[in-house]
Amino acid sequence: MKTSAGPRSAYYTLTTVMAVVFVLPLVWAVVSSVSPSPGTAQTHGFGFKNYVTLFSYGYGLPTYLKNSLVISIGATVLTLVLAATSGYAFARFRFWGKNALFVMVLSIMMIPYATLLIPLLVWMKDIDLQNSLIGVALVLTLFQIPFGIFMMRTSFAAVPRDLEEAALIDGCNSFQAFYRVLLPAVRPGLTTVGLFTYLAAWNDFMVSLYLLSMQNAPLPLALVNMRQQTMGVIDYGSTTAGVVVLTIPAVILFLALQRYYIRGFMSGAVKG
Amino acid sequence: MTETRISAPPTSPAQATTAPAVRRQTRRSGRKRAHGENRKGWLYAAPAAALLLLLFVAPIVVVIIMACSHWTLLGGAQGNNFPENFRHLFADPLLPQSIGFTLKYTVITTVILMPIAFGLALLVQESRRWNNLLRTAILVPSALGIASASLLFYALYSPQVGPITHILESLGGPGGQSSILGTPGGALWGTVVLVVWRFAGYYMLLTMVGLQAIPSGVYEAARLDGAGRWRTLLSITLPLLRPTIAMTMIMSITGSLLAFDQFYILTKGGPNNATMTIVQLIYRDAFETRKDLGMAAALSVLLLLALVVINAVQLRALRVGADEE
Repeated sequence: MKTSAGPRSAYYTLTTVMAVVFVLPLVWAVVSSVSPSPGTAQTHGFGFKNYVTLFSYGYGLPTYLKNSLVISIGATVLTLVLAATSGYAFARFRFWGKNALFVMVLSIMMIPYATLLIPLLVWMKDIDLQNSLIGVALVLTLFQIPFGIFMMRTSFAAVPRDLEEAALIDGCNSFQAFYRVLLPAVRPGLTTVGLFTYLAAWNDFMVSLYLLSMQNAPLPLALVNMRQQTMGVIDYGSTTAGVVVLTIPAVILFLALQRYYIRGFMSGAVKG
Repeated sequence: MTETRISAPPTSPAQATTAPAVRRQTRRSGRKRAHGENRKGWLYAAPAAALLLLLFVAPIVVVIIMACSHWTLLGGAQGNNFPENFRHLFADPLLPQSIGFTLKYTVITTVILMPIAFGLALLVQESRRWNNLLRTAILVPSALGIASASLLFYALYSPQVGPITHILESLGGPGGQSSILGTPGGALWGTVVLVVWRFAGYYMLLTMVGLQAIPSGVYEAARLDGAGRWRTLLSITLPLLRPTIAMTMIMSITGSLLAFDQFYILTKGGPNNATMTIVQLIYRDAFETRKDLGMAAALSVLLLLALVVINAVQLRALRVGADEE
């Protein structure tokens, strides 16, 4: 290394400042949510009064958290099932209409959310999914399957054919071979797809804004509404507390599975 | 187990071309196999295809019908009225205004985001412990949704609890009790800062993947030829990174053209509709001012068509670029 001490310390200073810029807003939210501030529930000293206000807002924090979990877990499970089955179909079988179906799956990425949400307002009523958490989970699944199917197709293509042939010869039927032998072999790919889907669903705002009432609101929608209902005197305390509640699970999940997140980019599946 | 494998029909084309008799036999079993494959393939693809039909194909048909109908939020479908919705749409002065603002926002965001992502990628590209830490710090905002990030910045920008107003005030800004989101320029730039913060890591990662695809031999050759750091960057890294840059640019442009959450939460399109994007106008037509789903559908169909054209042009430009190399 021929870099001298001067540029190197400049490098470390610069990069440290950068890292701080990216992390600071989150640290600020945590600190601010427990700090005293006029116009919030926490007026004197540090404490958790903002969280108490948040807890009892509207239908109650537990309701919104439950809604968020139903949507996120529902979308994740659905996406994993659909991405695994059709990823396998695209990787292994030649079937009629295969290319047309694949192009159609990819074209989901090109459609603006709004173009689908306006007709879904009407259409969900016709298929008995109006104001339904599972309905929202299904819509979020639709938006996630282009990435999911692409990722799983790549994963299955990397598994040697001998593996399933051996399973078939050992007396498994196709589905047993898929479930017992192939799925365990593509577990890293499934983790990546699951992580992307869970984060997208947990953070979704627009789909639930169009399709759900306040009683079925997930946390992001509830927080935005909470801010609006008290227009004029906005309670920033419970807003920052809400941001913390919303952010911490996502950040923990992200940090724990960062390797799989980066894998998603390496696969070439995150492309438009 | 070995016997079963021998008696199984030959699968590879090389085996199939050994003798005419064998070939005939395999052709027949090949057809049967193809039939079985067709059935199995569809069996595995069916769940996704069903979802696609139910929530993708059907709604697109519905949105086209709606765009051609008098269809209100509360009154429902009231018959065909084509081309009334489109006529109303073009008569609205907010449409050109929101198109103009959306384009402006898209250009600003992309022009700022791309170089930052590229610079960050160059900075943390080498895998070292310090760099891994940096990368994680820059990526953390990617775990947040745009909605939660917008709420966070909404609080940051508020004069009551957030530090930003006070910092700007001490730098000679307006300060006091007025949020920076209160002026058209402040609202635009406040949103741009939020979006850059949220997406810099995401685009950095995409750029890094592209950087890693450049073979190290090319860099070594440049070094042997006596190329300096800038020369290498301009003559090697940037040209070889062109496909990646094109791809991230398409993503940034498409994403910004469809901006909704950040403006809905931070500015509500204000002040005075100065930060109204196209997708926000769709929402407004459907739920707020007109409560006219037909008009909202008409606008969203136009948006889809515009996006298809823009993407086709961009992809074409990308492919032409790839051929030249």
